[in-house]
Amino acid sequence: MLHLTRNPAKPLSAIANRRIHIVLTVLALAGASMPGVGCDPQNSTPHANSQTNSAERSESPAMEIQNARVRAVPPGVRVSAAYVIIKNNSDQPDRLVAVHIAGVSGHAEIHETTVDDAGVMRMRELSAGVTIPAKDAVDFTPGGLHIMLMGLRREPQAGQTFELEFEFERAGRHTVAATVVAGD
Amino acid sequence: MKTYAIASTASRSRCVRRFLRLTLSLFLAVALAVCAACNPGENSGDTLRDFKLDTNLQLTDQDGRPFALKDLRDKTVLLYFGFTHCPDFCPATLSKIQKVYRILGNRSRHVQTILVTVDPERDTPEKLKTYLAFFEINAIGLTGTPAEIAETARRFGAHYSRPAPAQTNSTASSAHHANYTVDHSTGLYLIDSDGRVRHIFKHADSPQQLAETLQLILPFF
Repeated sequence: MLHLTRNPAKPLSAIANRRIHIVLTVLALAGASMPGVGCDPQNSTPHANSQTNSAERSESPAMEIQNARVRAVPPGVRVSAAYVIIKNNSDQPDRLVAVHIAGVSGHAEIHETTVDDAGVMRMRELSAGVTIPAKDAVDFTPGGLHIMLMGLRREPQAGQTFELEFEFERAGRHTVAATVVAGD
Repeated sequence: MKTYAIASTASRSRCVRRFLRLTLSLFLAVALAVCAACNPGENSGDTLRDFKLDTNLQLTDQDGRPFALKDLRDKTVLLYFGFTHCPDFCPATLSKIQKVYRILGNRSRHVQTILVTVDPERDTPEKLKTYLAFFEINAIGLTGTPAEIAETARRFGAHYSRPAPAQTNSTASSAHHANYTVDHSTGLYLIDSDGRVRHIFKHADSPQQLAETLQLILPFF
């Protein structure tokens, strides 16, 4: 009590100093967090390898088709693309030879998009199909391989599903339900 | 005693004024330094340059009206050559621009996306209008006669061509023909409000990269 009244200026300035420190700290923290704004890492695409362990543990089928999705397209558009990850768990390479749309009209082709050094995009049908190496996965992804869907009676809308039948040389036919999603 | 008091008040107020002036100039100096640090603007070196391209395009917009780039006032333009029957690349690019707008937030209102079709036979103004409305980025779609499109692409140094249909013996060859594809340049042109092409984004550039480059020339708020 006596100590406080004898020299009141000292504790007051100490409090003021502390306040300045707090303000500076807050500013510094705000500044440090600024570069983080709007710099979220790009949404990472799921990869087949992430499920390798669980697949090995259980009795996994020779051929697995994962993450099947169809791109939602604007009204009036009668073409779209389907993307999947095809995982060959067997010891033998296999080949995807065709894809069929089940249930609805339209047909599917295996396509590849490439971009040359000049930035020109080319899309071509892979009439010979795609090899799926043994114990490996092939990612059909935007800007690379895709299943081209054409001659559709209606545009694929988000939330719908398409039954796609994948035909392999060795593993035979596998049907998957592909969900229509907006964006990639 | 009285005069002393007046002098004292005057000198105190002069002192306060000097202090305020000093504080203000200090504040301005800090503000300027902060602005310079976070907006390299014209000094952004390799990222921005003038490609010296003739951007005086004359085409027809999605409402069937004549359109020239100079009609856009105070807009930074993202211009892309594509077509609506494109299943993979073009929607992926427009989706990417959606993400860029989201990153830019309120500043995206200074950006105008333009799709110039490389498929004028199929891409009518109406077709472009319904197609672009889907992406919710308020994009302008441009079409024209095949000659006008060819001239626009030439000015931008862009390429497009319709590959010969694959030799198939299937009966669906007419359907294949209706589903023809168009090879085209994938560059996304960044055009400033003075109509100068300042950067050409590559297809592999991320939404973050696009947003960061755009922020170099967009107005602050």
